[in-house]
Amino acid sequence: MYIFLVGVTLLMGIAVGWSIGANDAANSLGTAVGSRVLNLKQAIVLICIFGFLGAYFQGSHVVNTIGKGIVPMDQLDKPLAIYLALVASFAACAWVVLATYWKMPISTSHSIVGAVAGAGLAISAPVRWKILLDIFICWLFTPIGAAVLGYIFYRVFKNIFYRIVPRKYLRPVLAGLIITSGCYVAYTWGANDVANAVGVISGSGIISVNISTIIGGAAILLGIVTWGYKVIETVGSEIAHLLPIMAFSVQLASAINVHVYTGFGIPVSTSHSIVGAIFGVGLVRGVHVLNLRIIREIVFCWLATPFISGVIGFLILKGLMVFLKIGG
Amino acid sequence: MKEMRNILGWLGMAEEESILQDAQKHVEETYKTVTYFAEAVKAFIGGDLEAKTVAIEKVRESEHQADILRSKMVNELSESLLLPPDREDLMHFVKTLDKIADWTNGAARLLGFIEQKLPENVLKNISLATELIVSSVSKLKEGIQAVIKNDLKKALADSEAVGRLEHDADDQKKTLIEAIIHTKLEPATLLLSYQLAEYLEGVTDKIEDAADFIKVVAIKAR
Repeated sequence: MYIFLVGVTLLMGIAVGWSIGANDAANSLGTAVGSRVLNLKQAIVLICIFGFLGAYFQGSHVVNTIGKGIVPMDQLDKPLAIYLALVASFAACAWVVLATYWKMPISTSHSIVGAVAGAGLAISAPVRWKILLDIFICWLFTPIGAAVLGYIFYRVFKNIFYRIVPRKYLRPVLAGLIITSGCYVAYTWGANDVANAVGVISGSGIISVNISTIIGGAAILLGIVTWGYKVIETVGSEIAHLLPIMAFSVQLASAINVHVYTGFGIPVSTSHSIVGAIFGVGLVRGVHVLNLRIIREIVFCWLATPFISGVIGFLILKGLMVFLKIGG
Repeated sequence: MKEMRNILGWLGMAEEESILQDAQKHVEETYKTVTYFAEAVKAFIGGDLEAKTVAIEKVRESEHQADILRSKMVNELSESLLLPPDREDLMHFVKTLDKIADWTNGAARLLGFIEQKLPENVLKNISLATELIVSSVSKLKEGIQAVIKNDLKKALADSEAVGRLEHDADDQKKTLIEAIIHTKLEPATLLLSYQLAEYLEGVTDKIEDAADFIKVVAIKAR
């Protein structure tokens, strides 16, 4: 039974990692593909490399927060901690799937944090509300910080870039900047999001933090190569309509923003960071990039996600406790 | 509209939905334009020239409102940093919707110039052609609502119905022109009536163009 539980929990983590790789890979180099700076294959190789490096080198910060920071899973009975890990991953994944079906822009980070807290409450584990509050505050500041950075970067770069870069070097320099900033986005994305897949697994003590980041990174890679390329293609060729300097400013702002939170071990939404940065860049141009309806929907999903995934996690683990007589 | 969780993809879809909702408002305004035109035709057939003038003025005002909505949609499409996946189709759709109101307004203007009482046979055919326009635009409106509600089957059925109505309108135009040329009319009235027949069929053509877009969206989303 124990082996089975461990196996299913690992598979669930891999599924979450796959989903992250499949859906969010386009955030980093989709624009580079769209502006034909890179072809699809080159973009995928770079996203894989930098996403994995981010997960491996800095993923442990956020992995520790999700695994031990919200609920001290390392202090729970191991079987109970594994149940918690399995249910939290399942609840987060279930809500992501449902929200995708309903076309809601939700974040896996928000979903897993809510699910861990909900599952923790179900087994009366000591949920660390102070850390949860810190995370919530950071979520509020993720798009705001990115917007401010995006606004500043675009304002500065748009004014100085064409003055300091000789005309004949414009194209290669711009291409270089877009690729570099895109790789930086991929790196910070891997570093922050790998925890969504394996944070709880590592917290439950099934595997070490280092091994978990390798497994999580590999699952994300799998998502990128099996499905992510389709999303990159769509986003790159059909949707993102950013000028090169704008794309660079958005990517740099978003990556720095996420990197700061990653350093503090805070799981944040890389997607919200990108939306914030795009909003900031749009402000410089005086363009209403996002209308009120769209902003309302994003904010609603942001508020609802942790609560819904938390309730799902709580109910499922409570149900399991009753039916399987665990934790008593 | 593909289901997509990626935030950039989602933003594109949200933009597309927003444009389609504006398109619904636009088609409602266009529907009003057509309805006022039908009122003008009814008044003309009944010989009530004052009511005809009032209805023609309403057509003009409604067309102006549709123009404002068109500008808003074009701005949204051209200003956005993250655009819907089918932006070219959408831009074409916006322009086509606007042409429906434009052509209806053109038909109303021609009707305003016709002062001579037309023979029964011509009036009957003008009335039939107008009914076809009203039916087509109603189906188009339903089609857009169906796309927004993601009822793709109904959207396709409505677009096909518009296609059939356009075919009927082609036949109706032929009948109307036959009626016009077999009637002894003053040269100016003959010319205006002939032009009106062209415009009446033109409106259903534009409605069909807009319905084709609904078909494209519905097929792509399948």
